[in-house]
Amino acid sequence: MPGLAVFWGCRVLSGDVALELSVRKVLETLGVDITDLEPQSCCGEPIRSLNLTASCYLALRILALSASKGYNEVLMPCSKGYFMANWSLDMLSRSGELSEAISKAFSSEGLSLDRLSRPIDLVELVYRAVGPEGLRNKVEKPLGLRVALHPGCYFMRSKPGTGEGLRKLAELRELLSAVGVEAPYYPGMMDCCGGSLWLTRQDAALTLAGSKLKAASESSLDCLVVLCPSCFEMLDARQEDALSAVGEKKGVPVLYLPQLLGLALGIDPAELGLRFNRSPVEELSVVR
Amino acid sequence: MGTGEAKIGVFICHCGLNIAGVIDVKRLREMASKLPGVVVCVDYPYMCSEPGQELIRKSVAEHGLNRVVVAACSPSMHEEMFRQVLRSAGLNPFLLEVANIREHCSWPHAHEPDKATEKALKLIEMAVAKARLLRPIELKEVPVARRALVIGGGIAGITAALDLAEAGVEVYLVEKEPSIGGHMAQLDKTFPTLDCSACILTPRMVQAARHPNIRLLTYSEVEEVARAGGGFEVVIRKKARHVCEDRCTGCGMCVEKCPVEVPSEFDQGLGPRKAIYIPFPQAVPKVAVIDDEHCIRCGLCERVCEAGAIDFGQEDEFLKVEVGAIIVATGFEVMDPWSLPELGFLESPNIITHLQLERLLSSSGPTGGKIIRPSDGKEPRSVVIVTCVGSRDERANPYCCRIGCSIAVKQAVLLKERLGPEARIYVCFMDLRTYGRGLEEFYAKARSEGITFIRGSPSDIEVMPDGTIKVTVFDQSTGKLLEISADLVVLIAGLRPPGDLKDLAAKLKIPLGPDDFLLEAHPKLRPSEAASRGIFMAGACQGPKDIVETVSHASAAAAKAASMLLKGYVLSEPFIAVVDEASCRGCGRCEEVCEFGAIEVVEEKTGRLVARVNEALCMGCGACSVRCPTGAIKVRNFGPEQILAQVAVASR
Amino acid sequence: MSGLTDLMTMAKPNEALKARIIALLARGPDMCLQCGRCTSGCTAFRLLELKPHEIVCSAKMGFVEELVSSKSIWDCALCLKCAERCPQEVSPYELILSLRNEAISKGLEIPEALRDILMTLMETGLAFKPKKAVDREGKAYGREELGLPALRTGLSEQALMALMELLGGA
Ligand code: SF4
Ligand code: SF4
Repeated sequence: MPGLAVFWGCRVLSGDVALELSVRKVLETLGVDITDLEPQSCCGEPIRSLNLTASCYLALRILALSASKGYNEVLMPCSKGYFMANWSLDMLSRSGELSEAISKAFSSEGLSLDRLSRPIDLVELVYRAVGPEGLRNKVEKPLGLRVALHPGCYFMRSKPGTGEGLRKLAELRELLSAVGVEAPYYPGMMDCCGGSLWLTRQDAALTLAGSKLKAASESSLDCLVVLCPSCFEMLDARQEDALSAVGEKKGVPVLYLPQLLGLALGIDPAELGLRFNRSPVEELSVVR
Repeated sequence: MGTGEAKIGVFICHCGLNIAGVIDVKRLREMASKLPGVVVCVDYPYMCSEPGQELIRKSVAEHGLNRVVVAACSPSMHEEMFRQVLRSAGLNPFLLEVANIREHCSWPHAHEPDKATEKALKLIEMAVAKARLLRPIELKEVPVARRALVIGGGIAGITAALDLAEAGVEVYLVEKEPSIGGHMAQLDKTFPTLDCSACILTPRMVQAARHPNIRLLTYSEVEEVARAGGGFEVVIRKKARHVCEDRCTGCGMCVEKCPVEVPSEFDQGLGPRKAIYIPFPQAVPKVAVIDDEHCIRCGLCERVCEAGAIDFGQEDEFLKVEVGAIIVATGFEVMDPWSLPELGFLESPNIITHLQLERLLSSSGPTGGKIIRPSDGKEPRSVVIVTCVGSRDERANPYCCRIGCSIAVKQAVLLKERLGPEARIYVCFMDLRTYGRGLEEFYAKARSEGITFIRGSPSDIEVMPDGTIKVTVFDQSTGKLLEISADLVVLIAGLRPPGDLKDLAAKLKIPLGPDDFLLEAHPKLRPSEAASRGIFMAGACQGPKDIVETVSHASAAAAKAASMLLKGYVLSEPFIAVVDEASCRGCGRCEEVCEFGAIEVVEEKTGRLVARVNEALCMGCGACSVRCPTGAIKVRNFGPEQILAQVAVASR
Repeated sequence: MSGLTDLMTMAKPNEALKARIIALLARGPDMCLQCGRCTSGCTAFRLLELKPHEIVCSAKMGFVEELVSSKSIWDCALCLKCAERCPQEVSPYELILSLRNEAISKGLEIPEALRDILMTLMETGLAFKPKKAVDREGKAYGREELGLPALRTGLSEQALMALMELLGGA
């Protein structure tokens, strides 16, 4: 029985190592084995606007590929990839036309829609593998932080309208609380970072990111915590531009969820890739 | 009992915060307990609750009270209930006075608590002053006939009549048309279940006609109504049918032969009928009727009728019946949309009302259920249904017709079914209020079938030379001005009270609401009763209703009537005029002013003239009392002394 | 001629195109209740005046051509709020994507960034080219230097073929 497959996604592979480093380190510390799915390819998310069928094909192909290698589940740390997988499954379930087209596309590689791995995300994995209690027991350095959590559209709405987002949010908060982090509601908490809008309307996308950062600073919480590399790109990498789009100067530290967990687990900040965060993470004493 | 020196208990209700949130109840209690004659004064959060009632009973016993003042909500809410409390405490129930410190005080003066408290005290003082002078009233049991009159033979009247008949009450079911069935008989299918209207109605019609306790009087109208004893004396006019009901077999030979054709009322003018006709195939009774206005007396019918049922000499008959209860079930009328200024000038047979469409949809209708464009008989490819025509409209009916939205959805679904998926069906709506069980789902089904719902109320409608109708509507959802080319336009016309409801209400001496439908005794608690005893209402005569609501309302009215009739008697009215014969001079002024004909000056054997009150007719209005020069005639417990005692306190 | 006309533009519904556009959607625009909730919460409305309910209702009536060629479908932030909150599970989000698909296949519009992504995808099997990671000091690191395993990436020959076919030569 092979372990758990992991699909990283293009954003991670194109240089966003902070997520990959911290996920690997945290899972290792928690004793969860993962195996890289190979070869890694596009999840289809970036080409939704181009062709729905093709984008679903790419997403489902990852699930089929992983199943063909014997994995029941595939970890998708990128929220967009995770959403893409779930949404494609949903589309599939309601359109005979789509499943026909994709089955046909699969046939040349011997893949099948009948055998697909189940996508899971980091929150579900950690929650299931160790749970809040298990996590609490492994904490070396309780963080004592109050953070502005940015769950992000694709985490909250991976299965739109089902209430799944709220359930996941509750689990996420339990995990955070286990490592001494409180993630209270703040106005704008559910707002979009502009990540997907960047493709077509960059100014407006930066305004969204800027507003998000502003909302986080106005909430007087310690830092912004994100799950998704697309959000990270908008809020961390493009922070300077985003702030100036809304006439703000004050930077906001932005951390990935696994970086935060890693800090609590006593992992060296260097191993969590914190030097790749552009935002002023050094303002946080836990990082120093 | 209950007389002698007044020992008054005052009971002040908080009504949660309704009263106590404004009025200083504690201060009120302190002040009220000092009033003359008051031996106990208590306050309680909810005086109408069981513990509140118990509190009154206990205090009566403990303090030997012989008068009770309750300061609470309007007497129209709970006075009767508090009277029963007095009765169960061993007091005459009419030794109660209610001070309305909610509707008359805490609610209207919510922003002036100090003044409200002062006023509440005044109201209690007045009640106490009157209470001191209250006299016990003993009510008499007046027998009532175990018979009822149901006016109107639509689904409401049929339901009420059957429920009463089943309960053992004899029923006269009076219908002005030649057949019972009402509007429901004209419908094709009913929403949201789409079961056939006739299939569910016809058996009920037959059942009503066959029931041993029901006497069906069709083509009949109520002529006169008078109160008598505990009930009513009613004169019914049975209009001349010129066809003997007992002989006619409903074979229809006469109809076939009759040479005169006029538009059929039942088919809403979309098809013809003869001067002698049976309104529709399932008519009950299935008996022909001659329309006097159009009959040319050619005698063909008489010649072909094998049963010898034709009787040109027949005249209107008058029937006098005595009943204990009357249920009004006269339904509604569909308004004439052509009275609206934006429609009235249009000339096109292709613009019809929803009731006309029902006749087109019906398999027993003029087209056998085929949907046609009336101008050329072709099948329409595009239909626009417009809701709220004359409804929610200050120029016509300010109220909502309540069934229009569901009718629109139903007709759209039926049209789609009959005309095929290619036909375009548009529904233009102001709001879509499909509020009943299963109806939201029905609306969703309609949308899923590709019926186009447009949020907008059309204004301009034009008729093109080829018969096409152009409807222009501003779609609020897209901001587009749309033009819809249609072969058929269906107007969901508003509902109105029947034209003759006003007359009937006047005969029954019951009020109409501001919308001209019958006014119920209480909008929440007594929705199927008129304010005057023995009169009930069923169905749309009280306001627009769908079939489910109509049937429920009718059953409620029947249950109310039955519970009264099966007792066999009613209690006499407490607050009626009584004459102190010693001081009556027999001048007759009271008789002159009494609107209800309840007073008659009679000559006694001694030759002395004296006024007598007919207790069944007196409404207790007090006009006589005001007019009487000697103060001989007074309404019980509302006499000058009781009223003046209150005035004295109020003006202090 | 029966049916609808938009009197401002004299446009007529295009039912065939509508059918093609909504073919894959969960619950088509016909189910829309016209409540406007999607627009009330739309991320892009505040910034760019995108009104998803207008798009849904226009599509419902068959006025899809104007939507396909409109600029507004490109304003959507793809935030999924409307998809989550629509009381009728209509998902304006999906409709907008489908309209974009149509616009691109007609060659009416293709955003620059999307063109780049497509090129990269065909070349590498990834939407973004694998790059070295750069830290805040500007120093670049290869995966090896960071202790990360080398990863095989890309699409198989067959998968690329299948993808091209699905894209229909876009
Ligand atoms: S997905 Fe697009 S249309 Fe829907 S709410 Fe977000 S920005 Fe608006
Ligand atoms: S939220 Fe849904 S039902 Fe409401 S207007 Fe938008 S698409 Fe229509």
